[in-house]
This record gives sequence, C-alpha cells and structure tokens, in this order.
Amino acid sequence: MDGQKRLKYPAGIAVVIFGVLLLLLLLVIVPVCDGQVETASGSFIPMKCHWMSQAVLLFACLLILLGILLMASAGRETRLMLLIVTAACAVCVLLLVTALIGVCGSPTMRCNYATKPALQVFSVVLLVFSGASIINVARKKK
Amino acid sequence: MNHKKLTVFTLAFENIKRNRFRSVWLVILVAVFAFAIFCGTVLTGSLDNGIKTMAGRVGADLMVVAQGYEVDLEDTLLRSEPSTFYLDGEVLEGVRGIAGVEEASSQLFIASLDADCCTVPVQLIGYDPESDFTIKNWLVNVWDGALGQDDIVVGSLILAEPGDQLVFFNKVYNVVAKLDDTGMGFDSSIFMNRHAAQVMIADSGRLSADELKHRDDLTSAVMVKLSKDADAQEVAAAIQAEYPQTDAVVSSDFMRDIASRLTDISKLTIGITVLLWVVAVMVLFFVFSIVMDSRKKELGLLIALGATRKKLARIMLLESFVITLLGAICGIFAACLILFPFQTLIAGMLELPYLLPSAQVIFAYMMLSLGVTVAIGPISSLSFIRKLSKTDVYSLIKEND
Amino acid sequence: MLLNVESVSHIYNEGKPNRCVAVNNVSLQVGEKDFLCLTGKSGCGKSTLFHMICGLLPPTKGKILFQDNDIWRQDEAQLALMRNAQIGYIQQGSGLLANYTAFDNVRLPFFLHKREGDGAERAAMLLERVGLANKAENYPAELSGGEQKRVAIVRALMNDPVMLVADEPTADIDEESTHEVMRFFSELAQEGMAVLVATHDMDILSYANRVFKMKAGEIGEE
Repeated sequence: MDGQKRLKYPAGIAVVIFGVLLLLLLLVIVPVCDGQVETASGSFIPMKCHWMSQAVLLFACLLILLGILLMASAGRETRLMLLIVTAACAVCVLLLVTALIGVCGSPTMRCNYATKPALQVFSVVLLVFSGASIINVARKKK
Repeated sequence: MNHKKLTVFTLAFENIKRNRFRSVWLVILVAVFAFAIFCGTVLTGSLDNGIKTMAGRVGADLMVVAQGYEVDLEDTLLRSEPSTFYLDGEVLEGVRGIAGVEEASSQLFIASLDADCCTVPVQLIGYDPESDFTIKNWLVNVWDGALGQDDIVVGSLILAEPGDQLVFFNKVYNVVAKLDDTGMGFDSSIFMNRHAAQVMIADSGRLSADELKHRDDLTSAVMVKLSKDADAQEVAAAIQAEYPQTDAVVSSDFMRDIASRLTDISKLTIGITVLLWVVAVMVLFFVFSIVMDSRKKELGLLIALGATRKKLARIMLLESFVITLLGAICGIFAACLILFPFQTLIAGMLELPYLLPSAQVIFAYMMLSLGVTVAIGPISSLSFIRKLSKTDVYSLIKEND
Repeated sequence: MLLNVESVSHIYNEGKPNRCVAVNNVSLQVGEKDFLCLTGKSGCGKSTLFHMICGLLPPTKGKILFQDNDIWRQDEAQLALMRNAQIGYIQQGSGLLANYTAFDNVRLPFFLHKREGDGAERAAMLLERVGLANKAENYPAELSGGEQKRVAIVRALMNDPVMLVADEPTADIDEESTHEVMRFFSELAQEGMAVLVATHDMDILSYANRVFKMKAGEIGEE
C-alpha cells in the first residue's frame, strides 16, 4: 500500500507543475505580442499569436486538471489513460504553436523568437516526460 | 527456470539498476557538466564568430557623421536600435574631393519605420547602389539590373524573400535581394535606394521644414574607402578641417574600440569556458574515483572469486560508459533545446554581436563535449582498476570489514 | 599430496616500525578427503595463512605447492583461474555481491572464465542441497545471516573445486545453522574434497579429522 502511494504522487505533481509552468510561460515569462493589427475595414484586432496563446492557456488548465486526477487515481489503467491524454496535450500544444494557429511571421517579433521556442521546448519536454511515465506505468505488473 | 546468461553486460546493467540512486545522480551530474560545457563553448564560439564577422562587416575605412552622432551610428550598426540623424548632403561631394579618398558613398538612416511585416521598429537604410561598397558584400543573391525606386533589399531577420512584395506607406515595394546573417543591426534593416528613401521620408511627414529643404541630398553618414597608401587619421583630420560640423570616425579605431571592449568580454567568456572544462573534467574524474573507491570490497570479492582484472575492468568500464553516455546525451540534448530555439532571444539579450558558428563547427563542439564527458567515467574507472592491480586483494576484502 | 605448505612466513609492513609477523615459518600438508580445522584466537594468523593458500596474498618467505605447482610462480591469469576453478574460498562475513540475486551469486564464478552453458542447473541443484531453492531470486539483503552464509558456501562449490577453504564460516550464525554447515562440510570431505576451516569455536572441532592450533603466527602439533 505504502509503495503504491509512493508511485502515485510524483507523476501527478509533475503534471500539475507542467500546467502551472505553461500558465507562467504564457502570462509572465514569455507572453505573446500585445500589439493589434488594423483590418481592411479599419477596426483593430489582436494578432494571431494572441489566439494561439488563448488556445494554449486552455491546455495549461487541462494539464493542471489532469495532474490532480493523476494524483487521485491509483488504478493502473486509469493512470495509463490520463498519461496518454497528457502526451496528447503536449502534441496539441506543439501543433497549435507550429501548424494549427502559429505565431506572427516576423522573426523580430517577441512571439516568434521567445514564445514559440519556449512552447516548442515545453511540449518536447512534456512529451518526453509523459512518454517515459507511460512506459513506466505500462511496464509495472498489476 | 529460464535464466539469462551472466555476461559483462548483464553484470554491468544489474549494477546500474540495483544502485538506482547512485546511477541517477551520476547521470544527472554528467548531464549538468555536459550541458554547461556545451553551452559555454557554443556561446563563446558565437561571440567570437560575431566579433570576427563584425570586423569585416563595415567595409568602410572612415565614416563621416554629423558632430556628436557617433553613438547613434554605433547603435545602428551594432545593436539594431533604429536611429535617425542627418548630415549636410554636400559633404559627400566635398569628401570625394579630399586627397586619399578613393570611394565615398552616402547612406540615410531612418528609424522606426512601421511596416506590415513588422510591429517592432525597423531600421531603414537608404543607400546609393552605384557607389556602394559596404552593403553589396552581404548580398546572398544577385539580381539583374540596378536597385529601382520600388525595389528593396532586406536583412536576414526580415520576413520576406526575394520576389515578395512589401507595403510601406501605401506603396508596394519589391524585395529583390536578401542579406546574409550578420549578427548585427543589418539583420533587421531594410535597404532601399537612397532617393526612394528620401522621397519616403519626406512623404511621411516626419521632417522639419528645415530638413525638407534639403530633402534631395538628405544623408546620415558618408562611408569612405581610402586609397591604399592614405593615412586614415590624416584624412579624417582633413575632412574635419573642411567640415567642422562633422565627426569623421576612423572605422578601424571605431571598430577597434568596440572590438576591444568585445574582446575583453570574449576573453572573459573564453576564460570561464576553459575553467568550466577543467572543473568539469576534475569533478567528474574525482566523483567516479570516489564511487569506485566505495566499491573496493565488491571488486576484491570478484577477484577472490577468480575474476581476472581484465574482466573486472570490462565490467566497470561498461558500467561507467553507460552512465556517462546517458548523462552526456541528456545534457547536450537539453543544451540544444535552449541554444537553438532561443538563439534570437539570446542574441537580443546579450546585446553583443552573436552569430552561431556554422553547423560543422557546432557539430564539432558537440562531439568534443560528448567525447570528453563520455570518456571521463571509463578513464577514471580504468585508472582506478590499474591502481588496484598494485594492491593486494587481501587488503581490499579486509578494508570495509 | 594435494596441498603442501613449506615453511611459509608473512610479514606485514616489512622494514617499517609497525612491522608485524603474522605467519611464522608454517608447514602443513593436506591430502584429499582431509577435513582440517585450524583454531586459535583472533589475530593469530589464520586468515593470513588462508589468503596465501588461496592465492590472494603472496608469502614473504617459503612456498605453497598446490597439486605440485608453486602457486606463487603462476602469472595473474593462471592464479585467477586457480581461485576460480580449483579452490573454493569462503571468506569472513557474508561476502555476497549485493547487486545480484542468490541464484546469480551462486552462478557468478561459472561466468568469470570461459565455459559452455549457463550453469543454471548446477546452481539450482546446489541451492536445493542447502535448502534455499525457494530463495533463489532473493537479493542478499533479503536473506538472513545463516542463509547468506549458505549461499556463499555453495557459491564456493559452483565450479566443483578440489579444495574448500572457509574462514570463520560459523562466526555469525546461530548454533543450529553452525551444525548444519559443519555436517555439510563433513559430507563434502567424505565425497573426496579437502576442507580447511579456520575457527575459534571449540564446539565444532569434533567434525574435523585433523585439528591444528595456531598461536602468534606459529602452528602447533596436530
């Protein structure tokens, strides 16, 4: 029983930390550009990095939730599923930053030279972490 | 019962697995040092590369600016901090007439140009393609014909490729060429025909009435190339005598001045990097020796059971090799995750000429860092086993009893 | 004669102020089926003598013939092979390698030199013989002192040596286990193995067919 407790917390705590870190990255450490662009009709709208940031923020909240669930769950299969979802979140963040929404085009803009690499590195690290945890959980016998 | 054979591999892996705490800390330690020496080496190499590139970059022997604007020139050339400053246009022709001047070309610097490509300020540099001898050295591609009124050349960080079009002040410009990476202010600059720039600046309504009068020969700096035997100091003095309202900056001095400051920084970073290497090698060597020392009894036992020292050396070599390899790969992988995605950010934060060396050089740095950190564990274990050969097995077994 | 120790001495720290004669001019003959006990107080030189016999510590003077070979004239590889295949040495304390299971500890000597097969059958048989078949996959830390000792003993037998050398094999185990171990040694001696045991436990001398007393590095009469 004691052993199981020891196994169950670190991954959950780590995922919560990942989620909080992602929040901090987006809100404090490397926020996206705050400028607005003028549309053809003359109104001002935020640039696309803003929308990317909003989407990734949702994933940050999702990660925190996943971490809490991981801490609360002891079943091997449940934990496996939660970790797979965590890995999927990492892939989603990576795709949002690079392909699905992306950041502003110019390499001289903050979202391009700071936010984008930070989020890319973040998702790679999260992916490696969740991959390792999945293998770790899957390998353990019931 | 199905049992694996006991080989050097299974014995070594069992040792690593059963001492997970020790193994993990060793891997982390090796990773930290591999990370530090690889990062340190790449940073030092990039600074060195940036400074070397800068020295050849200006390409002019003398730069004539309005009196007191030397600092702005430095900002523009080094730090991509856009600035605007003007000089009396007739200086150009006058400079051309001074003895010792072989070529002279004027450039117009305009700061804070808003363009739809960029929300951050961009330095616009108007230059004279016919007389230019500084910009053309950096062109990565050659195009036919002269730089027309609607044509622009972009720095390496500007998001446009030759063939693209960019709009400034409701006017469409064709990108005809792009510059190579310079690691300096040129990277975020846009170059255009000086006359086109003059028109643009005049139309933008940013000029004072006085400046508008001179709009046709508005100039920020005159770049001067000297004839072979001319003395830069003398020519500079002659220009300043003729035009007292100017500063004639001798670029070797200007560059030497900046370069010497940079070289000091570069020396410091090289020093720190060398120190880092020495410390890393020493610490890892001693840590591995201490670990081996704590296992004396284990080694003595194996010898008592009839293991030859060769066999012992092989087990320990493999064990330490696996640990250092794992650590070095983790450390260098982590370093790559920081160094390459964030290179623009690092360059910006350093405010120094920072230019990553070529891929081959970086690969060489990587192999060097990897090689050294991976080798230390096995070398240290091996030297321990050698020392062991000279002591009696008896004292080994006895020692920790 | 299987083992012939000829006037062997060992002096620690020769030429230094803390010079110490551990073994002084000892001669000893051991044949097959001999069960020999060496008694004496701690520090009388028993362990030093055994280490010299097992090829772990070179004598300062004299020579040791094993199967008519001067063992200290062999090179390192031959010496290692002799320790591995012909002499089973059971040292003081547990002497097990903590990183390997009981089963792998027993098999280990088999793999230190080139041999065919994986030794699994013999290792299992040996563990069975000392009643530890069910503990084969346990690590030393999970075994009791007596169990560890038994594993160390069968490990010494793994390569079917001609001579077994045990240094204080009963020092840290209970009385019941002590007699079990000694009975096991008698069986081995009857099967033809030469058994040398160093002990300061007078109760177990009755198992041996030859008993020597050591005092201050010198060996007394039989």
